[in-house]
Amino acid sequence: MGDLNFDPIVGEEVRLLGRQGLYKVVRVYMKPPTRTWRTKGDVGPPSPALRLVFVDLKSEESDEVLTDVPADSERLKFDETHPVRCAIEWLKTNPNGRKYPDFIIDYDVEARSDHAGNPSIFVRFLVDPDYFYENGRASQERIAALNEFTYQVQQVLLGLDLDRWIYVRSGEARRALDVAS
Amino acid sequence: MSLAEELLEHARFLANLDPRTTSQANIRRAISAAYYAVFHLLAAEVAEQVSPDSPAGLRERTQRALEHTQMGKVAKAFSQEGATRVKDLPDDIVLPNPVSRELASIGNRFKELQDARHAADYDVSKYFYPTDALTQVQEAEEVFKDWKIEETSSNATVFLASLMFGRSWNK
Repeated sequence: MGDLNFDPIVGEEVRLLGRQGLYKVVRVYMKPPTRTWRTKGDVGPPSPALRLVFVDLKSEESDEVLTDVPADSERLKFDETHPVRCAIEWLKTNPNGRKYPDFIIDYDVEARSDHAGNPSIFVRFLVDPDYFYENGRASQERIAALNEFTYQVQQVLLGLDLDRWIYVRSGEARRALDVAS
Repeated sequence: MSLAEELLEHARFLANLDPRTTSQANIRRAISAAYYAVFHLLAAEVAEQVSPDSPAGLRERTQRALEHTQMGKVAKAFSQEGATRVKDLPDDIVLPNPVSRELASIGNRFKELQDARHAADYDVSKYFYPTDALTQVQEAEEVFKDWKIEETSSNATVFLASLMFGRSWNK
């Protein structure tokens, strides 16, 4: 379990200033800092900048791959869903005893307006369809647990102070059989 | 049984129809009814707080004056547990206590239900699963339970007044 950080996440889309189109993050990794000494003027703990994170990017429109792009590069532009994705990835590490349920198969995050035109972020957790049922009937207890989980996530996301309306939902993941057919 | 309770009962009935044979119409109406159950629960409480019941019809008219968008904004403002200040509350009105878990939950669930209601009623591009209705109905049930706990709190009076006057009392 680590602290919440805002490093890039594998799979998310980014833009790179000076280049056209979208890129997908295909790898996130750390490298030892080249500057390990401390200069005379340094005070306090080592700068977080010494924790050097790099990404490899792949163009969505071509086969172009860019490697060793510093994650804190000002050229790298994330969309507004980025902090939300980071928070969810952090929740997956079960921080502070908070359990990330194993029946959540995946999630998606979307930035758009809600029905009233408020700039909003929608998070949808995709749930294993079998989770909802017990002996062939919908389980009220399991649905309650799911709703409690989405409420807790919502509270974490509200704490990010994003100046967006936050909607956290759950829904059935489509079964692999359905997707294939 | 109040209209709010009847609507919740209706939503429950529609959401629990056999998932193998139920229709999009049933699921969508369940989601819609779940929202309206909560809307009428809070609307009735607002009207009771701000209007006498005499002459006949006065309180009902007051209830009719509530506005969905405004209520959604207030719900959002009260949706963070532990908050000591809420957006758009005039400076001279101090929230007596930090926002409780119950009130935050009501705020969150109200706007979730409202947006889901809008999608269920108008967005024909969406497909709804029976479990979507079940989760929304249970969200509405939670609001009823949480309101039972919250309704006697000193924050509740501020919340209800905000639902009615939030847009205009910063004039």
